[in-house]
Amino acid sequence: MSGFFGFDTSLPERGAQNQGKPQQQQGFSGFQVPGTNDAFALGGAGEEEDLAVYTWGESTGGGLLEGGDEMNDETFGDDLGGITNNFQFSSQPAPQPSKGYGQSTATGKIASTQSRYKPKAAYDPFAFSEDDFYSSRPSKKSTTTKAPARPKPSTAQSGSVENLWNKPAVSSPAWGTAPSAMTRPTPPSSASLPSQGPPAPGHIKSLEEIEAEMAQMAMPSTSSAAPTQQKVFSLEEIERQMMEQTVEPPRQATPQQPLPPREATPTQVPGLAASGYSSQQALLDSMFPELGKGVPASGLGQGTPSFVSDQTGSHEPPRPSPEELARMEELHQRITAKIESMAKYNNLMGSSDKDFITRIQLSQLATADPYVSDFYAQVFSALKRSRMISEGQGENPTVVQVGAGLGLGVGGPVGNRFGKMGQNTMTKLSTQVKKLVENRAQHQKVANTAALQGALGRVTRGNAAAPRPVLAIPTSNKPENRPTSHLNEQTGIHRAALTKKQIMFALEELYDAILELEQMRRDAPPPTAMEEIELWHNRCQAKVDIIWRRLMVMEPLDISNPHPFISLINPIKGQKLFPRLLRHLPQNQTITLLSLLVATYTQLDVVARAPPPPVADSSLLTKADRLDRAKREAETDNFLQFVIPGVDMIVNRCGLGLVAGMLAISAQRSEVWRVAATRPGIALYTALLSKAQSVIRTPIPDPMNPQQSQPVDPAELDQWTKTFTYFLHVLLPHLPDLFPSSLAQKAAFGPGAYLLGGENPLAEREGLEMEKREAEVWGFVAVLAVNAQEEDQTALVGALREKILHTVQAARHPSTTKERAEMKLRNVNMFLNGLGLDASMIE
Amino acid sequence: MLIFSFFKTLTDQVITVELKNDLSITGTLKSVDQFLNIRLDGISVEDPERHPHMLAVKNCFIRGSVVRYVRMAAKSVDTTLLEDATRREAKEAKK
Repeated sequence: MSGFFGFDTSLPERGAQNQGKPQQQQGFSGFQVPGTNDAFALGGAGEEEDLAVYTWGESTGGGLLEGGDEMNDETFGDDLGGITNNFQFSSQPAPQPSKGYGQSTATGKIASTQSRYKPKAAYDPFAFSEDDFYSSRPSKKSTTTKAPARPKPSTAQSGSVENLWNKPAVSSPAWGTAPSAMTRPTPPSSASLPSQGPPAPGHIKSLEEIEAEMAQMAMPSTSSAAPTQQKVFSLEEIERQMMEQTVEPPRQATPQQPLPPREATPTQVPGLAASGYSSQQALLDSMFPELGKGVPASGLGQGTPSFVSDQTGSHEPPRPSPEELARMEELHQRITAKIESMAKYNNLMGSSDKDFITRIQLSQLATADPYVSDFYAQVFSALKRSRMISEGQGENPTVVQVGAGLGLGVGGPVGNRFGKMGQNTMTKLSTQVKKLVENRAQHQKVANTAALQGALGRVTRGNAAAPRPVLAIPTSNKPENRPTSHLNEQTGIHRAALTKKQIMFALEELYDAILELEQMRRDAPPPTAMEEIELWHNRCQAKVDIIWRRLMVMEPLDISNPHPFISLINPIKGQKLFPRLLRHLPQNQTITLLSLLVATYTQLDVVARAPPPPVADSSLLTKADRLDRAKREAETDNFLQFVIPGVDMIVNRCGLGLVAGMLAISAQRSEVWRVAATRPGIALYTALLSKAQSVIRTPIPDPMNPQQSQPVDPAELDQWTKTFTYFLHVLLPHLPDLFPSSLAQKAAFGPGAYLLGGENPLAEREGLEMEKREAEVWGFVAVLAVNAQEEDQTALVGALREKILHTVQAARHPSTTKERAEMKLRNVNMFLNGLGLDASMIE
Repeated sequence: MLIFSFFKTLTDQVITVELKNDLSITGTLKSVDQFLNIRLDGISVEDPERHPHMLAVKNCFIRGSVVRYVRMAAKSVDTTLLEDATRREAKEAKK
């Protein structure tokens, strides 16, 4: 009864304790109280209580297993004689599949298959042991029934474990040869020593014999009560030992016991649930003895009614009365109902869950430096704000800013979105975010010292925003890609121009440097901290120096064609960088830069490969040609958009001497008419000439710019006049050819020549575009006229006479649209007005 | 984080979200989160004949993973800044 079954019967209660313990004592004690119903009905009503109930429900499942075992008892019968004679399970009534526990239902089947098909069992060690398991049962049963001297009364708490030990002790002398019989009764030991007796194949053959043997041996074993008691005594001591080391799991406790029978136990299927469960029970017993004491009274009542009645009928004193049973039943139902009612909300989140999620999300979004992960939104909103302020609108940031320099990733305008939450909530949020940021910073510091650093690339921690790359190869220590150093490796004055790849690398480096510098400028220290400002200035200056070096402006003028710097601003990417560069460079450097630019203007793509004049019918072009034209047009447009304003700005800072010098350089180093035939060239010369004119014409000190306050130096003026005269005379013969319409007419051929200027409605738009470009040239010649001396002006008009007349006539032509005619007249007047004339004077 | 950062600047602007099931929804962007889930207000569906069930829907929450395209006005995008942000992101990733 004893051992194994005594243990089993107590299981349901244990189960109850089992889960009662992990929860809280309260739930459990409530359970212990005789009026359990109340405890469950009223108790707590909190979530914990609910949980406790729920787990209890689970543990009943454990109890069901035991119930099934009890059925086994019934099934296999108590009477020993029957067992010895008739050990066929198939003939026995199948165990009631009462609670649907897999093992119990499977029992009969396996047993029967085993008995019918022996060879199968031979292959299948699992079935084999299972079979053993069930076959050993009856024999155990017999022993247990025979030994009424149950030690339970003496030490209720340790009873089960003790019995557990007890069992093998009983069986061992009798069935030393039958290994399978022992496996079941000593689950903890076998679990602890799985390797001790690997199932020898030999067993399997003799299994049937063993079964028979077991059945026969059952009687003698039961009769040998004396050794059992001995064993029990020793085991009790061991049990006490275990009790002392309460925390230790039973598998550790078992090896301490040098019991020969247990060591003899050979085979065990480790996966069997029962073994784990019973060992768990042993652990529980050892850890919570007082629970074990308390349980039996209420716990026994929980067993399945059939079992209880059976027990009472056979030998146990009838503990649970029918009313009690009914009450238990009622309780059970209540609990089930409660579980079901709660199950409705199984997949719903509570407010605390939501809070938790929100915190996780916030911690992902929160950052100490908003510019790191939220660069676009932060800068975008900053730009927008500044634009709005400049437009006179109120401040209305589009991105939430939490505190100074602390950004919260949550987007959206502050106004309405958080209006409901109110300012208090936002401040609360910000403090929380601050904490989160600190925590994360610490966490990341720890995580950065990963053990695998450098072993297989860099180990990075991923998060939702930045998933961990499979392999991150450290690139930070990659040597800087320096096109100049590459250039310097070559000897000689002339070197190969930068390759496209080198240009792109150099540009990316420049962009990185600029971005860093801009970030640095944004992070300006407060104006009160003097030394910090000093440091900050130094850092910025160092960065500017780096950028200056990377621009390669100081490379010798003829180092390569194109010059490295020109190579850098040839692509659109570089052109876009130009104005941003100028913002940071000091004035003398910008002037150096402009000088270089003027000197090497012909090397610019937009000048050397200026877009060809438009053709009347673009269908005459090949696709590649069209693409090339489009690319060159785009480059020119970008150049005019990004670089020329910067050039204008620098030119405006120059004095007359510098302007004269630049014009001289340009005239000296390039064929000015070629440069002037391009839009960038026209723009450059217009800027230079108009600046010179403004300096000469307005010697009045300009309060805005003290540098220009001093009157024009006569020497400079003289130099300028000479330079300009030379420039004009070089340019004069080519003057009519500067106009895009003339160029287009010259370039036209075939039917295109007739189409050009025709009344093609599609050409109208192009015509307007052409007029706009003509206006640039007319503006240039106007500046020429303004700067020119008297006799030069006459020459100028003479050179342009044809063009003027042609344009005025075209404007008066009836087929010319009004819009275009106005533009033409305005263009001509731009030039003529400079000379004190007007288009209307031409008849 | 770059795209999330970008979408934040689009809040309160009218965008068109094209879903992977070919449903295109135009509406005012109310919020976006780091999974690029999108909340739209005052929505209208392109091709309402095909999606009559959407006629009554006035606002919606779109799970980020079902979005195929988001269409927005070109003027609401600062391309240069976006390029810079990309550079920064790339640099952060390299670090």
